[in-house]
Amino acid sequence: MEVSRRRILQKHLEPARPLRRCIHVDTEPKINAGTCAQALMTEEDPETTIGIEQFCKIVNLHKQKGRISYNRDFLIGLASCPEARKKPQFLPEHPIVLMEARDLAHLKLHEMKWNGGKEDMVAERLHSP
Amino acid sequence: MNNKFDALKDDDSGDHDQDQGSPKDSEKEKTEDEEQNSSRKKMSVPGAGEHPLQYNYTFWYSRRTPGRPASTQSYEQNIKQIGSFASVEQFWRFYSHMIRPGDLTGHSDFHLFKEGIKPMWEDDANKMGGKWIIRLRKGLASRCWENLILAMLGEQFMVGEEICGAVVSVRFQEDIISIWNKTASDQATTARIRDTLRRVLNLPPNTIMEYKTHTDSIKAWVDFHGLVNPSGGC
Repeated sequence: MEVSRRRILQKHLEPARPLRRCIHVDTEPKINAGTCAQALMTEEDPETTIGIEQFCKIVNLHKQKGRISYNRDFLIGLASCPEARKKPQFLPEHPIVLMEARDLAHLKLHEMKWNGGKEDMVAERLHSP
Repeated sequence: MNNKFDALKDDDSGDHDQDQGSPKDSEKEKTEDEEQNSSRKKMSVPGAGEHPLQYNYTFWYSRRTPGRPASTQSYEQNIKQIGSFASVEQFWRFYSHMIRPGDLTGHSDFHLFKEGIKPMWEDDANKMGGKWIIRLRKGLASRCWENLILAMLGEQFMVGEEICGAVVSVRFQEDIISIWNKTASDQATTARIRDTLRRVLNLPPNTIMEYKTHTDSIKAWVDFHGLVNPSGGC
């Protein structure tokens, strides 16, 4: 009985040993920033294992965060490019509609003033409540 | 590089809104709310190489016909679509071909709303909503309007899907700018919009900002005119 049990154990354990040794020998001499990061990632992996539902939730959260946003300076920077100066193909005839693109230089001008912080930017209520 | 406007619609009139309601899904993600109101023929799309916007928007213009009392005029008759756009470049094309609000005369408004949302209190996206109002002395409207719409188009308000659109109203002694959102009861959102407004408009701390729910606006309109014919506007 005992002999056969030992044999079974040995049979099961034997293949495991060389494998472990293999990993040990292979990875140790090659440690550099890359493998370090990889090791860290694999270490963290089990902790962040998530279900499909959770995964979808996270993806949706990121979608909301990943909105297309532009700051004022960037938008104004695009105002002068040729594509932005073209006349829209469909533009109703109307007194407020201009036949040619108007000068948008004031945008940059304001920006300079803006950054200077000296602009008299006062919004006020004219009517007493 | 040609034909950037192939997909842009010819919205020269709001008259035939009704038969344009197409439930066709756009490539952009839209909430159900935004799909409900379908007053568009075709969605605008950004041209190749252009900078897409988070949402498509439509410019509107309205003017009260002089000499007639407001209560006899249909708001919807007086409001006109100028055009819709889906990219930064397309926005500038429209913007540079329109006069500035400061150069408007009479009782008139520019509206910039997400495509599919009418600048009216009754629109599904607006009916539970409200707006922040800032009254400006004459001379400031053009710049404030620019800063307001640039912040809106650039998604600077960070309130998810809440923003519906913005309005600049040219009046006799003052100009008013306002920004509309979907849920008037959502205080976190309205507070965030207020703070962003202060920042992007660079308003002094003592500027009075007023939040008005659209239901209150409708009530005030009815009280004042004594007629049940209310509509959007300030």
